[in-house]
Amino acid sequence: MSQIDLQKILNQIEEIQALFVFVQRVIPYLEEIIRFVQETTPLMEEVSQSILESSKKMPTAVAELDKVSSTTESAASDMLDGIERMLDTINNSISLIDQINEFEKERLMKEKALVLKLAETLDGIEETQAANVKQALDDFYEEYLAKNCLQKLRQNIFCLQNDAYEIMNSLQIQDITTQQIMAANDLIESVQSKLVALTNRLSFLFSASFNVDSSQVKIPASMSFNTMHSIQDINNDAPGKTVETHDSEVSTNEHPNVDKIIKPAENSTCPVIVTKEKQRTNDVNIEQDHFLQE
Amino acid sequence: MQKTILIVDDSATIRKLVRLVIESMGHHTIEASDGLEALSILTHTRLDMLITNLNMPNLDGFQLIQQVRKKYHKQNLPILILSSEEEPEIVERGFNAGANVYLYKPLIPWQLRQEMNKIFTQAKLGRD
Repeated sequence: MSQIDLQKILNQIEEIQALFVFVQRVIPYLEEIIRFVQETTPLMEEVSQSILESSKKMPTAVAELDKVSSTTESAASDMLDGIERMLDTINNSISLIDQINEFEKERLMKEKALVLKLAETLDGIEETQAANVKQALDDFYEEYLAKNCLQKLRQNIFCLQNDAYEIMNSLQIQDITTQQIMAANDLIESVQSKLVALTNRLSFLFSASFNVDSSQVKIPASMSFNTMHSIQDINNDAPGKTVETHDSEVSTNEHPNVDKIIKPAENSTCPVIVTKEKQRTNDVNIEQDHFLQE
Repeated sequence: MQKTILIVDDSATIRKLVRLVIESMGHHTIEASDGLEALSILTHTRLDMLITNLNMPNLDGFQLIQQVRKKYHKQNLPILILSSEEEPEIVERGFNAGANVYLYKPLIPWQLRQEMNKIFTQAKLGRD
C-alpha cells in the first residue's frame, strides 16, 4: 500500500470521524425528540380518546337541541291556537256588545217615543206638559247612556285583544330561537366532523409513525456526550447494559440490544455503540467498530 | 274585496302569525312549508300575493321567487319577503330575484298590513 493510498484512507477516516462528531452533536437533540414523543404519545392517545368520546356525544347534543326546537315549536303553535280562539271570542264579544248597544239605543228611542206619545195625549190639560216630559226624557237618556257600562266593557275587551296580539308577536321568539338552535347545531356538526377527522389522523399517526414499539426506541444516555469526559472503560460490563454519564455520575440501564460501548481514541470524543442487531435502523446504531479497531 | 295570499315559511309559528294578521284584514290565506309546496299550490290556485321566507328546506325563497317569475311567468304577482336575514347582499339578492317588498323578522303586524295595503292600492291603480 503506497503512502498516498494510506493518506487517502486516513483522510477518509478523518471525514468519517468528523461525521461522527456531527452525529454525536445531533444525537442529544434526537434523543430529546424521541423522549418527548415517547412521553407525549400516551398523552396524545388520551387526548385522542377524549376527543373521540366527546365527538360521539355530539350527535346526541344535536338531537337534543332538535328536540328542544320541535317542542318549543309545538308549544308555540298550541299557544297561537289558543290565542286565535281567544281572538275569535274577543271579536264575537265585541260584535255582541255592539249589537247590545244598538238594541239598547233602539229600545230607548222606542221608549222615548212611547212616553212622548203618552205625554201628548195628556197635553190637553196643560200646553207645556209634553215639552217638559220630552226635556226630562232627553236628560235622563243622556245620563243613562253616559253611565252605560257597555262602552267601558268594549274598551276592556279591546285591551284584551291588544294583549293577545302582543303575546302573538312575542311568540315569534320561538322562530328566532329555532334559527339560533339550527345555527348551533350546524356548528356542532361541523366541529364534530373536524374532530373525527383529527382523531382519524391521530390514530393514523400512532399506528404509522409509532408502529415500532416505542419502548424499543432507545438511545442510550451515554450518547449524550457533552459529559463524555467521565466515561470509564466499560468493555467488561455485561452485555445488554448501557451507561449514562452525567458529569461524574455513571449509571447503567438495561438495554437488550447494546453489547458494549467502546471508548473512542484518545484524541476523539466520538463513542461507538456496538449492537447485537445490525439491522436495527431506528436505533442509533453505529456499525463502525471495525474502523476503530482497525 | 277579499284577496288570496300564499304564505310560505318552514316555521309553523310564523305561518300562523302571518295568517292571523292577514285574516284580521279580511283576506283568505293558503299556507306552504317550503318552496316546492308553494310551487305546487301556485300551479292550480289564483293568487293575489305571495309572502315568503328565504331560508327553507327543499326549495328556498330565492329559488321560489325566480321560478315564479321566470318559469311560471307570474310577473305581476306581488311578492313580499319576510326574513330574519338583514345583510344588504341578501336583501339585494331578494330584490334581484324578483321580490317587491322585503320585511325583516320579527314581524310587525301593522307594517305588514301597511305594505299589503300599499301593494293592493298600487295594483288597483294600475288596473284603473
